[in-house]
Amino acid sequence: VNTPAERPTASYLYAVCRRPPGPEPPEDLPGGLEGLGGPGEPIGVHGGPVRALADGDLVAIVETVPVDEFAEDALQRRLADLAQLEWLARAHHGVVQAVGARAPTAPMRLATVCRDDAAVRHVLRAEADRLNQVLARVAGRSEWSVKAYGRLTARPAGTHATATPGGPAAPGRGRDYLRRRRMARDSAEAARAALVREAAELDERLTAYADDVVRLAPHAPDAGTGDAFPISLFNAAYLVSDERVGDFRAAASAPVSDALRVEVSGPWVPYSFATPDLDEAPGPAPDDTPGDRGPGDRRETRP
Amino acid sequence: MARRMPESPGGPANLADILERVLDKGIVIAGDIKINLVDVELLTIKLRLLVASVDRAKEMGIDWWERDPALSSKAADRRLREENEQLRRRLAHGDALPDPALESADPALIEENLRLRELLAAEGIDADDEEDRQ
Repeated sequence: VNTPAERPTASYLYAVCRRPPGPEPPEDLPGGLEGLGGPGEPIGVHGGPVRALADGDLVAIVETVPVDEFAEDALQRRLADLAQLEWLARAHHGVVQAVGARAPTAPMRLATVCRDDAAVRHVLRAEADRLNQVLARVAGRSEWSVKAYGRLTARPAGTHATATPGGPAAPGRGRDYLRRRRMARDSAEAARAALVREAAELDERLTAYADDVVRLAPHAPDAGTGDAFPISLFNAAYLVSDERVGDFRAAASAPVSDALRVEVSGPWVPYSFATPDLDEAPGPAPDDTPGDRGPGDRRETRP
Repeated sequence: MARRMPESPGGPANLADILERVLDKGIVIAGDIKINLVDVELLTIKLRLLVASVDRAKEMGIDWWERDPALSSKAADRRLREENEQLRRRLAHGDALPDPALESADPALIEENLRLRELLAAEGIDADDEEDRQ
């Protein structure tokens, strides 16, 4: 992508990690940026390479993006278009996931845009405590997504409200209908209750292997399985330590009744546990950046 | 164009899974997205995707809010309410037309429906003459 020199740019923030240890740590990821972006390997939201920017013991993964495509109104327009939203979300996720494969990672929300590199370093400094806490919490752990869908299986005889086709009304059918409705309702309720109970027990077993759990909104069943398992029971994200991942996955894929379908995906970068709410961040202290706001390459130094 | 990243064992991650993680507060299409534009202070703007792209979302199968049992049962509730209204009127007037094809309606409405039917039956009115005709 050729960006004219005068085209204003901003710094798109993907994720924050710890800086590699050492007396003079490089401005890099612990695992290096090797294979992450770089010429000929465009993977970022603007198709460009990603860079590492450090402040103190933290390092941010950023990409230079043109302001006219990533400013507020442009993003409003682009994110409201589902095709572009998907493209951006997948590009963002691609970088975050690759970073997460190298080091414990605090992922940022989609479209976290800083004015320049100095603003990124400011975020690292202003949020250092919170970011360090989050990174310590997710180190050696990964996020696993588990969703459960159900179906009502056995349909007791007589619950179908079908009868002699085309037959004329017979006396007493109103009462039959009443009885059938009651039976159907009672058995459907019982079946539903059994499903909910089984899903809750699964969730309980999984939670026992997890260090944390977040319940997300249930998804619609996938098109492929939607017909067979139309009831969304739960959608949860579990934070699981590396030592317990094996047990967790075994528990998640253990056989369940044929009324239940369980979908497991992972490992995810711990989005659901490590994404800081930057909008709650306090503004900078007045004396924090005295004078001019320097160009993007201004180095911040810390003792 | 993007390089394939290490992904879930089952293949590339599902878009809904990604969106609920990279957008603020989990969900997602039907809600607001907060975007942080850091210009010394943080500026939060809100997007209303629902208005702009609900049709596109449906095309892509991201329409779980529609199939959410809590939401879809509203249609059944409405039908049952209408039927109960009819039954109430027929209690006064003495003839009946049922609609039994209701699975997911509010149990309270079903209960009311059954009570009304019992009342009709007590009056000697067969509430379901044509119930099973498809």
